Amino acid sequence: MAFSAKGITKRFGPTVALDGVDIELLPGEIHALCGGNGSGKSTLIKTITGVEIADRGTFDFGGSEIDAADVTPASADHFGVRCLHQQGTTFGSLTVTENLAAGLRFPTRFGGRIDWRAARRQAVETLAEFEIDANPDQLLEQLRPVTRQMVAIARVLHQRSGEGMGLLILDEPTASLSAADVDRLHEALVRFAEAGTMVMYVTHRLNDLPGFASTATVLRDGRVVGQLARDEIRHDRLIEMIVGVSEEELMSASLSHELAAAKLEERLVVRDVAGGPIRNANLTVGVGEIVGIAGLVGAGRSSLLEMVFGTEQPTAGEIELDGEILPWRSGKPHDSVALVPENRVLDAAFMPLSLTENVVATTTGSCWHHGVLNHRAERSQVRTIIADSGIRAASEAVAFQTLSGGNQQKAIIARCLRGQPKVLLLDEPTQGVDFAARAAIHETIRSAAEQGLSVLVVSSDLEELVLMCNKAVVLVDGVTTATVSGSQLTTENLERLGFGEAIVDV
Amino acid sequence: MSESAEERPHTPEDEPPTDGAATASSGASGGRAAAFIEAYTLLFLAVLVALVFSLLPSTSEVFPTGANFQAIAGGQAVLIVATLAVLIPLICDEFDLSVGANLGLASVVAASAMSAGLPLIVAVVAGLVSGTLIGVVNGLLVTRVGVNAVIVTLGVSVIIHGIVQLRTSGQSITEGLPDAWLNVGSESFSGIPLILLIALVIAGLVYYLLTYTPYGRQLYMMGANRQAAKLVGLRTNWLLFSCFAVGGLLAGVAGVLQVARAGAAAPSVGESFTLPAFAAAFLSAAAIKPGRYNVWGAVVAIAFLAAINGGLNIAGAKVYVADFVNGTALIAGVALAVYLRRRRGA
Repeated sequence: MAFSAKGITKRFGPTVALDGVDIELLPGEIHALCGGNGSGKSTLIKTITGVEIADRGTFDFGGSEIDAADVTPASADHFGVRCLHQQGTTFGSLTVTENLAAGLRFPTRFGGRIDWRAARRQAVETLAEFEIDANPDQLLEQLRPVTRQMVAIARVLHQRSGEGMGLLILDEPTASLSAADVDRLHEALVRFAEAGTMVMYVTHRLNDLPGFASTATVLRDGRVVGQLARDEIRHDRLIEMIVGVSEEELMSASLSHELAAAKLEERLVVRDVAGGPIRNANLTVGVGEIVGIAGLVGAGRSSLLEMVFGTEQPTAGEIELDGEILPWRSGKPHDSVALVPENRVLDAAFMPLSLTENVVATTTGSCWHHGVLNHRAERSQVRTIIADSGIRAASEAVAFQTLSGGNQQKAIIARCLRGQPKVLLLDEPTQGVDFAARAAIHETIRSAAEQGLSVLVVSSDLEELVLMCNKAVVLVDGVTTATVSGSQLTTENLERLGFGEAIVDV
Repeated sequence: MSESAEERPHTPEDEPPTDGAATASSGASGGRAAAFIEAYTLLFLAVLVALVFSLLPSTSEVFPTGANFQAIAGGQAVLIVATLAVLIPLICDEFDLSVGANLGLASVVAASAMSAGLPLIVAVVAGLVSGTLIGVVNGLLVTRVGVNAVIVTLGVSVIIHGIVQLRTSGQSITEGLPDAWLNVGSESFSGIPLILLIALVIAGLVYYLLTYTPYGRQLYMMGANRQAAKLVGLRTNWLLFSCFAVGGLLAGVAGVLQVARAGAAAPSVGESFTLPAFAAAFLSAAAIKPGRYNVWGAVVAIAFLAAINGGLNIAGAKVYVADFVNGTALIAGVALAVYLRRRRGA
């Protein structure tokens, strides 16, 4: 009863997320799936679980061949595919018994009453079967993270009702676990695998894999770049495959990059800052400088931006702007710092309001004269902004939600610039934005920096950092480990540093 | 801001396929016509209903007369102000269910003061202060304690009901009300009831507040996306508090006007305003400025409902028919607002 995928292809508009991916799992195998941000790992999982419909390809679920376009969450479930997403789907305020029963059907008695005694008995059996050290009556939130993770795994595995083949997909299961807990989880997974479950294990933590995974498949740009057998899985091999450049090539490759060599006046200084996922961050941004923050998902990049913005409180360290320490103001953003959040829809856009109202959102007072908000002045100013930032809209009065994502993003950046901040923070500024809009946004930021704006930009798009930034800081597990600039500022170096590797000097 | 939803290439859901702008209703002159129709349909319907009742044999004798207009229009003045009291929190995406009860309390407070022989101005101010205080209590409970506004205002309105019963023993206050105030409720200027003019002036002030001040703009931003409002630096807690306080003040105004209009303060008069006020406030998003709650849309909605109710009343329809009309209008108003929003989003 094996699982295989052949020629899985998935496009999102012009971008090819998966390009003919083949992967095969045998019973008892722990198969690691590796790749950089945007390499297609998540999309592959989503096509297997039926959350995204693949454009082409076939799946073989333990002998039943099925067109990839026909997979639905229900059919994947039927074939025994179980997926545990990065955000644990457990209920902290419910008991272990309730959590375990939530996946199965609650055993019921006459009249649909839940038979709690039977449910508890099942829970005890399950806990014993999976060797989980927990009391069935305990609330889940009282358990250690690794135990909670185990309960979640036990629940999804237990849904399997005999038939089906049992493919367990884990997406970054160790993101919130300590090293000792990772070992415990691995032991458990090895046990499950020996019992016949296939495990597909997605992770950024490459150090977890040697000695644990039986096979590793590496994806890059939606293609399988290679497969490693158990004794070939080594950190440096994986990195080389993920980055896609051998060390020799790296030596000769050098993206032309101009660095403003002059010593810049310091504007923003982050000194020994800690808090949340950030353990120790240090960086400086000069006047008119664009500084990038590179690092893996979960390294704490967004948290660092929010601390500078003033919405997340550092527990240690100082953030200094023009020589003055920025005080914590109970979550109120600092003056003269503007943020373009990563999630435009949730954190930035006023969808039902007009384009004009969105652009002037931070500066509503500027058109308030003699007790009257001058709508005409607002609109004519916004017309100028629309022309300058290349926003494509039928008029300045259209509802914001009628604009495309790229144009919304341009408008939100224009909003931030209109407030004339000293520091602009950008979190994934061109995520989900088409090529032309991306170029336009880069141009806008660059010209604002030439006027003296200091910019701090987080991006998973390393090429973007290389194109935009004067220098880039690398964040690994909450620690700023390196700063690269000039000829060292290359996508390959940023990728290696993000995985905690040393860089190759040119 | 979470880093969870990463993994580019991004899903297409958050990217409309065309890079161009507006799709449906704007662009050509046909779009402008459609927008015009959308904005004025409810007003047109109100006029149509009035015309039908003016021509219908069973109502044509009474409906189109000046006296009937005064009766119907004068009767809507308090409702207009009560609707404004609902409208302001609603723009912030909050429900103030206590507006009716608050209105009733203010009318009892003002009428008690008047019948106790206090100067008129003191009695009026007492009514306004009572309304504002209830609004402040609502605002504090929502922002400081963090209780859901529906629960807070529902609880507060029940408590107010108890206070009013305790104070009045269920009796209306009718004695000792000064003529000067009662005249406000009955006089007319060139055929238009004074009390309606007062209500329209207040509506004008609220319109100014919502449309021509940064404060009003900020309320709309709060309602559109509170998280974004916070991140662009608005004092979201203060705004939230203030919308209940301002709503409370307006409920107080409505209560004081109710004394003038009814010539009495009935202990449970307030409750009858809550539902029509919500119906009109929701329907406001379907007129004048479609897709957003607005003052003149609310006034048009009230005119529409008043024309139907008034006409049916003259035609001899039973009292409960008004309940059907208001209940249906509330649901239809929300459905229409949802529909318009979705269409604009398409």
